[in-house]
Amino acid sequence: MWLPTLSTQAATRYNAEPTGSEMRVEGKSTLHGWMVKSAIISGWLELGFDPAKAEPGKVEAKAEAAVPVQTLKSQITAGASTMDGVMYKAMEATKYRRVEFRLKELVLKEKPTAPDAPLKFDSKGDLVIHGVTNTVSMPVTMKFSGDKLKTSGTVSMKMTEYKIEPPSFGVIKSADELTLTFDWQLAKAAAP
Amino acid sequence: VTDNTKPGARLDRRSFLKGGSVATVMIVAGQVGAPAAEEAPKPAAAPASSHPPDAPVVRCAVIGCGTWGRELIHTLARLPNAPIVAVCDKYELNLRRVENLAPQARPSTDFKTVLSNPDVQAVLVATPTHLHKDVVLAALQAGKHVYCEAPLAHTLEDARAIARAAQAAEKVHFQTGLQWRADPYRNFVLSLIRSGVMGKPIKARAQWHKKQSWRRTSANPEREKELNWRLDRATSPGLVAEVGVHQLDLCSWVFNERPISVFGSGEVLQWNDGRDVPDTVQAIVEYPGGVRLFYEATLANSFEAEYEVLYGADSAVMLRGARGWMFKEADSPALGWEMHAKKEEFFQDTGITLIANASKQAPATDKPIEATAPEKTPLQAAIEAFVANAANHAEAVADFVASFGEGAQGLGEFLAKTLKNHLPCAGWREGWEATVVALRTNEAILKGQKLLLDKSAFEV
Repeated sequence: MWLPTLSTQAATRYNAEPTGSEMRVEGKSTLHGWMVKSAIISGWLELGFDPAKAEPGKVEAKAEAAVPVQTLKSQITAGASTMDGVMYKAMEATKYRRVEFRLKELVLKEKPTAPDAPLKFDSKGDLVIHGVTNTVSMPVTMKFSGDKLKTSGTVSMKMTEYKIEPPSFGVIKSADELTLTFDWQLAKAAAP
Repeated sequence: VTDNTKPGARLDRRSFLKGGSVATVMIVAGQVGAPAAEEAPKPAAAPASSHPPDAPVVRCAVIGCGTWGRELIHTLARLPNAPIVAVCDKYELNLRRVENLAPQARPSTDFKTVLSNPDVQAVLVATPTHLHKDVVLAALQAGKHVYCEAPLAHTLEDARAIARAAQAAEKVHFQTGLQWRADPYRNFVLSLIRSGVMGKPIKARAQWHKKQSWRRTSANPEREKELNWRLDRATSPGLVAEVGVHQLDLCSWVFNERPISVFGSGEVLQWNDGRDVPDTVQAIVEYPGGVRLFYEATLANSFEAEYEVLYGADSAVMLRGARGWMFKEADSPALGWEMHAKKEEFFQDTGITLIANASKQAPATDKPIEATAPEKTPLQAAIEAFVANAANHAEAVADFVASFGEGAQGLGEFLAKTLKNHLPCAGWREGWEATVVALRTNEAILKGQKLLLDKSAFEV
């Protein structure tokens, strides 16, 4: 699972922080919209370039991120645990315990307009849900603050692309389309 | 712990209606708060569990197998995912009494044996109140989920020790046996009241009346002394804490306030058998803004048994066991749905029967909506919440540790976000605050004095 580190000497490793991250999954149903959230995104990110000097174009980077499925929780005032149960069953959460992402390609879109502005990238990687791997493309941003790094992004997908039957709750049926949004908090790894 | 227990979490009508459209709140039953009292409700009255069959399993032990402990065992036995693997009571006859109820459970007279059993994931503590502390602290130390009966303890010192230990034990679920907090019916009534149907809060009244001595007998004098722990001030927190804790807590929960003072009086009027714990008590619990709860309990008369009435400027709401009614003032705003609701006459007043989801169903029918058979008791709801929440808690901890390693900082923050979806129940804080109010009220009764409760009184 763990990929080899980048070959370049300049590679900087960031590890996921236990706090400050959030992944949201939003969808629609025949009745109303819904959202689930997790506060855990584990994993790491390695950058083989200097963010302050990076030029637009492909940059060297690797990352692996994971979200335990059963930390995704419904955001409704009543009946949340029931809805969570329906979702976990649809995702076979006891068999496929994590949502995973492995970064394959990162392209800097433009030079930052200000020193503190987030860097904007196009990314490509493998998204693993329900044991099914699909390559996805999504725009991501990285905001550096001292030794901290917050990377954010959003991607649209369909449940059926991951062999998940859109769950039903009585006569209410979820739509196939989802939007996955994340804010991933990392911190520079201590020197070995 | 449900969000609506938190200060500042007042619900407006809009939130209530929105929540009601999502929830399928069912009509449920509940015996009125006679917890820890001599005559526990009859187990046969409780219907089967509606717990999902594929829910995660939590292996349980019950420590203290007296009347209430046996009621806990009865309730657990209805859950397919809560096998009772151990039972404990230092009185062996009590262990024999539960042999048939929990045939797979390993019996023990020493709670330390139960806690050292790695097969036990959760313990339910139903010992006499003054014996809670040692058991609960050891259980938390052993990494077990804990369900501790209310009140938490017979002294503030013991209750504080339990609350502190429960707060520190991040990796396990702690629940106080304030079962009304888990009761779907009372949660429904709470939402209704918070939506504003009562108008400005004015006062509350609650009582617990029973004709019974509380005295127990045994051929063994030593055993008889143990059995009668409720009659001795050294071990008993009195009527107002042993039975009143639930009713006092209900008022604090509904008003969403902590009391600012307590006052009371009490006497031994009927059972003058050498006891020093009053058999008849009255208390006034004062909330901010001049709102007061008038509380009465007696072992000398059973008239009108037990109930709670919450009075507002627009209406009063009365709760009796599994049922509730609203009595509207003539000048109060029309709600609409009450036109279709079932009404019942109470002498010169008309009570609008409060039925979960009645406001949603009203437009669909011209007939008054009838209350249906209870689905589950508050105790069942509380035990189901305990088992489900313990399983969720354990899974959340396991996910965090698998993601960031054992001992990583931030577990508490993560749990606070993730466990918002707990089934409603009373956690350690609700248990601690309810115990503070009950014990201080008992103190006021014994001293015949008014005692002030400032913010520091509730600090753990």
